[in-house]
Amino acid sequence: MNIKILVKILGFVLCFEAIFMLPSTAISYAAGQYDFLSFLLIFALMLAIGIPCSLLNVKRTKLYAKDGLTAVALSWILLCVAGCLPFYISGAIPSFIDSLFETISGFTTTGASILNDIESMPKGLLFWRSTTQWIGGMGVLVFALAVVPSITDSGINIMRAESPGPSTSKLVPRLRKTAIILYLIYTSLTILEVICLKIAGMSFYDAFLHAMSTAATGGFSNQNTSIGAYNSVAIEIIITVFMYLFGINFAIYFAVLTKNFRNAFKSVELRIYTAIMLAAYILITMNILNLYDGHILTALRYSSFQATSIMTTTGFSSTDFNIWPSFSKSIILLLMMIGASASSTGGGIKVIRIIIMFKSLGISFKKIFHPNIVKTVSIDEHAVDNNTIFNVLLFILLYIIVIIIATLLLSIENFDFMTTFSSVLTMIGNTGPGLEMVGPMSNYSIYSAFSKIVMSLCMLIGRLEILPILFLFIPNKRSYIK
Amino acid sequence: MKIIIIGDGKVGSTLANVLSKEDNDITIIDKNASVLNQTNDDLDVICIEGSGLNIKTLNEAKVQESDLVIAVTNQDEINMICCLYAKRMGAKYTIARIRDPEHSEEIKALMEELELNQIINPEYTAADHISRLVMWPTFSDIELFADNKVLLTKYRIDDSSPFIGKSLTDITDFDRANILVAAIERNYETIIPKGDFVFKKDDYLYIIGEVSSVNIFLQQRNKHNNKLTDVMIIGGGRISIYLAQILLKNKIKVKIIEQNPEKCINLNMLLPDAMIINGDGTDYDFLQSENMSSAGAFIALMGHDEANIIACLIAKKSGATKTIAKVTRIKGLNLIKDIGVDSIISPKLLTANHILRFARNLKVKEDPSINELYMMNENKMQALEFSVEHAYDFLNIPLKNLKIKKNVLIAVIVRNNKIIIPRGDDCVKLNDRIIIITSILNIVNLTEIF
Repeated sequence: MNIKILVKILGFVLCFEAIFMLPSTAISYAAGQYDFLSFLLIFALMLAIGIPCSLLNVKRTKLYAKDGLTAVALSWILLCVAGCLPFYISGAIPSFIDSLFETISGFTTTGASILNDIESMPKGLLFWRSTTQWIGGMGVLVFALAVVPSITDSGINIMRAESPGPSTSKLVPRLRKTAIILYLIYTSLTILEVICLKIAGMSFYDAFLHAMSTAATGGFSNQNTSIGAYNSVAIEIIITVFMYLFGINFAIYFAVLTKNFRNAFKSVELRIYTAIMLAAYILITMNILNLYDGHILTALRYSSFQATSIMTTTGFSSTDFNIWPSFSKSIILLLMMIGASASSTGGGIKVIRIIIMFKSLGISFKKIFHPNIVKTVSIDEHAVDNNTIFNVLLFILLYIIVIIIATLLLSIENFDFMTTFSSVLTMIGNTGPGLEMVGPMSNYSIYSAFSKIVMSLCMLIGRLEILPILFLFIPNKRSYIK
Repeated sequence: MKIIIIGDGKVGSTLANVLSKEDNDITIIDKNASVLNQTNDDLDVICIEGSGLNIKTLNEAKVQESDLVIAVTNQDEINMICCLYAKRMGAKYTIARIRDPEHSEEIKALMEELELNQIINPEYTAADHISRLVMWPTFSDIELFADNKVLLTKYRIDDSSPFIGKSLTDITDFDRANILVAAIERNYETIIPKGDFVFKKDDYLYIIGEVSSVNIFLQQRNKHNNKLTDVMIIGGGRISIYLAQILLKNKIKVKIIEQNPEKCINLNMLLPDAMIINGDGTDYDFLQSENMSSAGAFIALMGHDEANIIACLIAKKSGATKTIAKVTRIKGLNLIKDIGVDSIISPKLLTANHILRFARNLKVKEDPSINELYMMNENKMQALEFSVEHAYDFLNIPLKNLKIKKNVLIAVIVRNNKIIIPRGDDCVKLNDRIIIITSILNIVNLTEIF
């Protein structure tokens, strides 16, 4: 392992985090609240450590696949530890574990909170909370590759480890340009949403905050009752549309931008993603119709917002779906597991993996009847090689194993099963709200410190798609082959 | 520039490596997914799985927007058709690898019919390169500049050299011979030396100067300097055929050893003047019986790198004066030289040089001033020849007053057929040709060296 380059990368991560902290610091200064000094202190601290590290002169810039995984995992842990300091030092969240949980929930775009009263928090800290989501959505190392591509020769290994999906491919030949294009799409869509929300009646501050949370499919709001607090159909529709948009594979936006419409709309992942979502709207609407006295439109308003929010793993809520019937809750749990598209900002298993899994299952069944049949899994007219299929199945298996272990660990708390299980699913899927005691109108402050650490790990495992974090726990990476 | 490379083989990946480091957008097309995966990991390029003959694949690679399409699959015919398609679809320039000696007669006609801008034949290029080594036996590495008047070569400092322990300014031999030490290769690093540079054993000096000056300098320091009259070639592949043709034309006797009897018959038909012998080129006794030690040069051109190296080592041990081995896998070229093979030939590296020169010139199409380009020491250094065709503002100013970039050396000025090794008081004038040595790898224009 190339320690020097690792330190350099971590240095850059700190510098970028400091830069991203500037807007929150400014807001805190403007609002004149007590968190300003702690922001300033941490900003200086991050630069003081980050700049010397990032200036390190590294001769060998090669990073192998497993080094890329380690670099990404350590970067994210550093990002979260440094990012939680403003909450802790300012005293807004007195416990360190709580601050860390809140920040990890931010960077992993989960949006689960331990705060009982969000509205009493200082404005700067709330803005920082949403900023962490925005950074985490597209990934800080992808940002680093866009700005300083010279860090490493093997950026592809970093990009692979950080961006979600079974196979990361570049949009254009240059990795740097790919990273820039991704961030341009991301930023322009975010700004578009700010404008829409502003027109729909939010203040600029609220619009920015919610747009950043939506863009990352994160789900932090500055209202105790999330989007429900605005009780505005227009805002709900805008946010629903943007949640849907940010759950789409970003490669499709690039295809649209390069006028390659045929490829864009033929994408099987986009179609299935949309189809699952529409099916969820219809089923939930029919199921909850009685609750809303047979008003189809009201039912549709709530079902569509909640279904989109959960499937894209955003986690905003406009109503308390804890009171919905069991069938609707089951659908919500299912959507939580499926998640959004690959290479989007959403979490979960990802639609494309589900498609590949079912297609290869189908072929396996056919093989029982026709043992000599030759048939390959293909996505958008491209054959998927066996290695990718194997990795997809392995990923789903690991996902389930992590869920089982985490459920075991959380059940020590002795809450009811639904609370425990939905907590795990929502954490590893980076969604946010769970069911029963951790439903959309409650929070995670009921859990003990130990459980919060377990859940924090689940969030990181979910965001980085298992392997990077898992690799940190394999003691000697050099000799694990034997 | 947007460059598409069809065929991710040895030449294709070398090209992609060098070209992508020079800030080009590279797309590679190949049928083999596992090769592409490897390339995707190693290089900053985009890989597309598919055939270069498939219009859909070419569309996906955006051929219509590309500046240059290079077809280097292992089949000549595929390369030709790929280039034809690419041209019709709107690619600006195309280069095809065509290496079958059968096509060599009709090259001109083929280029016109297929609207090819360049044809590359790595085997012929390699044969041409080897023939120079054979005809100038004192050199281990040769590149000619300025219409073959300036020569860049490598010279190794051995145990008995009087240079060891002395600094560059102490040694007057170079000045007297009117040659320049342009670069030093030590421990696989290449350095442009300053006056206080102290020589050590096993340094390789890149010396540059007029052909005759360099020749005299080396002859004084080398024991064996007779012109070669006969060579022994092991392996009867394409390079051997081209090489034998060139050497025979220059009245050098050729003995080819080939293991495959049918190939031998074929060789005999193609090269009636050469002596063809059927046998194993790595068999010590057999080689002895064929008198390898008395051959002027021993050239191993078999299909396997290992066999070539072993054959050369055997020949060296039994007293051959000059050994040349073909090595296709590029990495570790230097290591092989250390163990006693005099010269290493890498067809794909030579081909890459060739194409790189073409691509560089495309970049400065309005001002195609690079005449020659030569990659030194595994692509870490380059020698470039420029023609000074414009009234740049650095002309007529003594070099000592110019601020030239670090790691750039103006090695030679050629003015009216006269070769000048420049000192501080010399200056560059209009219509000169200058040769620079540099480790900055993407210089395309003279103004970039200041």
